[in-house]
Amino acid sequence: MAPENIIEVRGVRNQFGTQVVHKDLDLDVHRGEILGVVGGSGTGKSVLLRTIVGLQIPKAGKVEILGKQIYPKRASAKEINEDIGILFQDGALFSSMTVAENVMAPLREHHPEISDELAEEIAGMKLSLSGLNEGVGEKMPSELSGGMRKRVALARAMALDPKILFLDEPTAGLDPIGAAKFDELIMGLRDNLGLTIFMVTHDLDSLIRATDRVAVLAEKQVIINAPLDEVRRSNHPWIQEYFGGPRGRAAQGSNLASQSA
Amino acid sequence: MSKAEFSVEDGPAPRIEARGGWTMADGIARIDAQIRKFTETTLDKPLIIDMAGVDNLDTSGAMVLQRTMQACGARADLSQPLKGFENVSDHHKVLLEQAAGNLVSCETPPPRASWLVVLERVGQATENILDEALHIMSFVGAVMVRMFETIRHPGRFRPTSVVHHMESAGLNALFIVGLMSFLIGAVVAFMGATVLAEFGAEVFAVELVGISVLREFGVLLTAILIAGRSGSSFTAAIGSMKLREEIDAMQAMGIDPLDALVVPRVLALLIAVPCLAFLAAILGLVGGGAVCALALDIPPALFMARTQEIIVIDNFIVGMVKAPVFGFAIAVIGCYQGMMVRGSAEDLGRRTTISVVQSLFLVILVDALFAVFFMELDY
Repeated sequence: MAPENIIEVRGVRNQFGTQVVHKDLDLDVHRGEILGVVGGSGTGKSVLLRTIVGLQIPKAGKVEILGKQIYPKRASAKEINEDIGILFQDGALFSSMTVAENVMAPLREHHPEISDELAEEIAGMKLSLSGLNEGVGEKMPSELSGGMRKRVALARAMALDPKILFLDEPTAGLDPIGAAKFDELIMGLRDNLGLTIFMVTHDLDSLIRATDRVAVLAEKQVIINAPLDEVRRSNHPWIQEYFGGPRGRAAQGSNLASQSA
Repeated sequence: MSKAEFSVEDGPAPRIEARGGWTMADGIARIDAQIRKFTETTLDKPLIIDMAGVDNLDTSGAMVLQRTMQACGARADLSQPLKGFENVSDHHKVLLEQAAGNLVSCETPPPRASWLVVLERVGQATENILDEALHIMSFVGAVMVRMFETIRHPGRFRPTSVVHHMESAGLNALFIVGLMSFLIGAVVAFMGATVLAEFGAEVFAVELVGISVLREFGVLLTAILIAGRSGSSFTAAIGSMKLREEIDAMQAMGIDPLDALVVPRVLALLIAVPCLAFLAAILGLVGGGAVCALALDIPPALFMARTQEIIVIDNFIVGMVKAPVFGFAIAVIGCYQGMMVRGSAEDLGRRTTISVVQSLFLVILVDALFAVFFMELDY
């Protein structure tokens, strides 16, 4: 059975002034997988994420999520926004609201009839699922550490039980223990809730542990989109340098060691 | 997708038959109140939930089911998360198990008695005002020290920065300040002449314009405009630098933010505000003169002659002496509030508002003190 495409990007072109970021870019994301997106700085990983969710309007091409068109013709925003959750790089929590209010914001927006009690219970559960303790709900985002902010942002992204979760560098700035826990959290979400996850990351450990497939952005396109082993066998010089460099080998080695242990 | 529904068999062994899609999209929020009511009436009886008719479940639905179950008997028995559920499909099992371990509500603490809150706020505000007054004074002291240091070590002086701020706060405000004071001069002449005409003393409009514009309006309105225009921009600029840790970076590099950010702005306003006040005074006279010539039959020559004859230079000096003080106050408050920004974008907005309000208040307070001072001196 051919895997079902939950995201389909065809021939997308993104351009800022004369600088072309993407040219004829194609990408498929399958239902229920964790896709890691890697690429050098400035290859437009975040731009690609923004294009797929409709925050960035491409110059040409076609983008579809769950069979609904994002570009050229935009399906109704509400219809799509209930199905996707986005974790921005620094969390992008609303700084004027408490943590609990942040998580409740999408609930109240999409389900205005929701009672306060139910909203508080759902928010509490999402925070707990994201690995946060009780009592964090009353805090303001500025009182949290970077790792906690990311967890709150994840809870907010999951508030509506989206079908696709977009993560922009979820483990950047976390300590290795926190990053490993975050990976587990994301894998658990995928397994338990059947989420599809689109993850932009630079973290080699996350790539190796968590992803089902890896898409490599270079030369304004996705040059390969395949399981990690296949990607690593590619002859492309950037890929060779990325996975063959000292950090790439170290991450690979430690993962093998932990598997055999 | 079918709607979330359930039916209840009450009795010694209550039983809930859940049907349809138990998801937010299918209306969990709609039936939640009914379930709550049911839960209250059947507390502590062993409950059975039949999941055979549920075709769709999400985390919220699983949470509501588990909450109901745990409220009715099988309370918090985490080793058997599925106890009491019947006909659960494999896919739903995972969700129910997950929900059982994560039943946490972020209840907001109940609000306290309102009179207590009022009392607390009054106390807090009083303390804040006193605190802030003290802080501003110490900030003024620190800025003064840095300015004298700059005189002692001219190498620290940042001419580019000073000129830049003089341009944005001074030069770019020329048009608006000029236009405003021209109009104020015209209005004073016109209104004054209308009243004075009743006594046949129209010609005294010249004195009215001269004294009020030179002594008060020119410099005061300039200061008010600059407080709104530049004071707020100082706070916003320094505040957002603070939020993005730029100021911490400076300190780490050994650059004193007072030297780099505050002193140039203070110097810029110390120079720019008197220049603008001078322009305002002259254009105020021009506005008054124009109204006199066009509407009151006082020709420009007569206006000039009377102004020279009667309006002593003292009025002009009294006005101009205040200008650098106002400039200093506006710049210091703007920078101080910027440095005080903490944490969030919300605070930046609040501080910007406070900055404008405080510098306006201070300008008018200082103006009043000057008035008393000069009156005592018979100036």
